[in-house]
Amino acid sequence: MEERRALFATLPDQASQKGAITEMRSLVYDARKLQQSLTWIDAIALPALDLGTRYFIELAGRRLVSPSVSTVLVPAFEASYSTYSDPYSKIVKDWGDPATIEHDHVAIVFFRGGSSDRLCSTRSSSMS
Amino acid sequence: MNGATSANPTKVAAGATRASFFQDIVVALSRVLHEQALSARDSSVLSRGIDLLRFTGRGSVALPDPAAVSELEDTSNALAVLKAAAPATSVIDIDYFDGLRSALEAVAGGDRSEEALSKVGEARQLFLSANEANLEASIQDSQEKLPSPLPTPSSASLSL
Repeated sequence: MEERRALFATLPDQASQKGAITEMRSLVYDARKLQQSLTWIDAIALPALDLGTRYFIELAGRRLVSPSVSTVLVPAFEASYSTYSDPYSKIVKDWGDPATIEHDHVAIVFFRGGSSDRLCSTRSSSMS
Repeated sequence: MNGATSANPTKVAAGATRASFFQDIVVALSRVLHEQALSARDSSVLSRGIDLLRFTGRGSVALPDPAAVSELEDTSNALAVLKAAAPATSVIDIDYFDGLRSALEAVAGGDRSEEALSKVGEARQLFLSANEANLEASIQDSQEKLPSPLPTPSSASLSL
């Protein structure tokens, strides 16, 4: 940032300054996307579900939704710039007071995208 | 889920490198237009910009050698962005990129004629437009569609 600020002061005209602003805006969006990808990398490196639970969830999905359903393990948090948010907090709270849940629980969300296009996603979180 | 299809770190890094590379060329060309002294970095970037225009021009049937424009992680995508940013008429005028390249080479060799400087201005606008297209692509990638509202427990269609 300091280097870019120093360089901006030396730019000879408005066109090159406008280009510098465009470049910085691109870098900000790219930084946000990289921040977003961190949670996915963490989710792969440290899976929230153990393998046995993962198999159970997939089996349950195939029995309850469709034999060809896809199960996607998603990160527990959504990252953006320097913040993290929990996109599932509303679902969990709608089901009941999280403080009363003693053990880890798994949220399964079904997105209906058509008669034969269904996606099942899961997460595991300890609310105790 | 959110971010899954757009936040490929390799793709993002290539886009960031491309944005900085294009802007470095804009800065170098701006200094040329204003008769300012070029730094070693400016000269180096200008040389690589000329190489990139060479790949985009008439003789671009062969795949570019990535080592020739080493700053770019993905030279093919950089070429595609540059071609897409060119004026519509350049699709017909196959000498467009060759003309820009020749002018940059001439100016680098000391030619300060009005015609050569006009082409330098066109080249600068081309790289500015390419960077704006890069930004648009980043913004569109970031505006991911959210899934339809999640069902509340009372409206869930699944019965266990």
